[in-house]
Amino acid sequence: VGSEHHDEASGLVERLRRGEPAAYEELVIGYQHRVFGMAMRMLGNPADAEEVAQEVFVRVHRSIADFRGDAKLSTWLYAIASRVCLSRLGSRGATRGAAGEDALARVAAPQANPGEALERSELETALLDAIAALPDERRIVVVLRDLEGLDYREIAEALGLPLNTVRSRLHRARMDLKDKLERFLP
Amino acid sequence: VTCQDAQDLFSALVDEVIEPGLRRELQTHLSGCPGCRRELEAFQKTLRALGALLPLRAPAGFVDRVLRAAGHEPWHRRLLRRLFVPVRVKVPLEAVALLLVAVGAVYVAQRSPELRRAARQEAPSTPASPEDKVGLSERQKTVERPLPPAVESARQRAASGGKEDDDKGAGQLRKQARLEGAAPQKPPPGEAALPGKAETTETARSDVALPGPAPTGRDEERMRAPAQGSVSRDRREAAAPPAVREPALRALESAGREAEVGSRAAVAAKARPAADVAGRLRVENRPRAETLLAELVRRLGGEEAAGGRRAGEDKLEIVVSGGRYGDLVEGLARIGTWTVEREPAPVPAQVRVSIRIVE
Repeated sequence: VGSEHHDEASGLVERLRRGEPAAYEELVIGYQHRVFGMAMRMLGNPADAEEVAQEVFVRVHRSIADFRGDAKLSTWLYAIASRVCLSRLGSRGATRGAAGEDALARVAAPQANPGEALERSELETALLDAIAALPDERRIVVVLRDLEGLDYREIAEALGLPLNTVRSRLHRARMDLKDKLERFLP
Repeated sequence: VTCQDAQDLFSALVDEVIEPGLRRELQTHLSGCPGCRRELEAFQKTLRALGALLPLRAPAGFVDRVLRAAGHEPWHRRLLRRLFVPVRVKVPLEAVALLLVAVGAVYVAQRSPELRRAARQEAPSTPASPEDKVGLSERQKTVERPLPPAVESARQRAASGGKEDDDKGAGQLRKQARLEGAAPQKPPPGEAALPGKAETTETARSDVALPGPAPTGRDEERMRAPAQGSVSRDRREAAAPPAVREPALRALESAGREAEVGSRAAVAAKARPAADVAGRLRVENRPRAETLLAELVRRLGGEEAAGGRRAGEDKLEIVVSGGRYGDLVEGLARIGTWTVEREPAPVPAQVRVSIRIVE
């Protein structure tokens, strides 16, 4: 979301509407990690996540002319990504859980000392397992809010849900996570 | 506010979207409820743990793959990718496809005499087609097709029995065949390796008197040892480079193959060139008569015709100049009783005389 100002300043949306290939490439470069990360957290499988992220950008390319600009570009992107992820989860029940990519991210995380690293690793593992165990409709709200940083209204727009539904789902998801993580928390 | 009500407001409190009145009530409850304070602390730690998760990064090459999928790729990269990617799948498939096409082309060429003939005429460097795999009937079909004009005229001259024409025509025939663009051709493999077939082929060659570029010496050798000569010539030709072979010669080989249909004896009789003069020489003593005849021929400057005598036959053919034909007749009359069965008038410059010796 932080790149929204950059998008507006560079006229990215307008250039995308004009069909400039460079603008589309700029969009993909700018949002690739966030869209992939969201898909990864939702699906828990790098191959599925890449496939879904790729599909998201292809859909963006096809329907950029339909983007009216009422919402932020990022919100529109997350809306498409959410639909593709939920559709994929609903259609085939994607393999979820702490996958290799997460393990890699944990290993790559800078640690102050071995004890802290071990403690953090256990907490992260428990957290990722807890996220993966959430129901899809709750997990996506947590991912959008606590990992991707969208606000309630943006999440409601992206998911097409009432604001109160977003609030309640988010709160239940967070409480689920707290209950599962409680014994790992210092 | 109950503990449950208080905990339901945790998210709103943390995200700062709680109404001011509810916020005050919640803080009042928390100040007097250690359990809810612990719950709130655990809740906040959970959110901090969520926020501490490292952001994931898309794999290398993701942007390129997306651009390709969306069609934002230069045409040459798209073409290469469509042709070869994935390499492990497409390259072996393409190799197999090429192999199948090549095998199919060879198969079609083998099964289509017209294509084979076209390949001979248009592509001299093309490797010899495996004709030995084609059946005899297929070869006969080839023979039945019209021959090039030069070959046809040579055959006609041969049929008319003109030795002089043949001698001159051999060279002309080759020149003419070259001018017509006929390509050299390797002999069908395996043909020369079969003695019977080789002899028949040789007979067919001599049918139109095509003795080769330097015929005289070779033909003399062959006259002395006909059977050996026919085989050795075939061996020489089989070992010769393809460029030596002439299309006309090939056509004549085909004509020779035609003769394989009948018995070899019948073929030999049929394939022998018609002599200008034929007659019967009745003698008392055959060995002596043959000796005298050989001496006569030598004295007259003649020679025994190529392929003119075959093992076990009582007939031989000689060639003398037309000017010495009268001397030959006189000499034959001295050796025995010479009865002329066929004689042209006037005699040609080179007379081929068939003499059947009868005791």
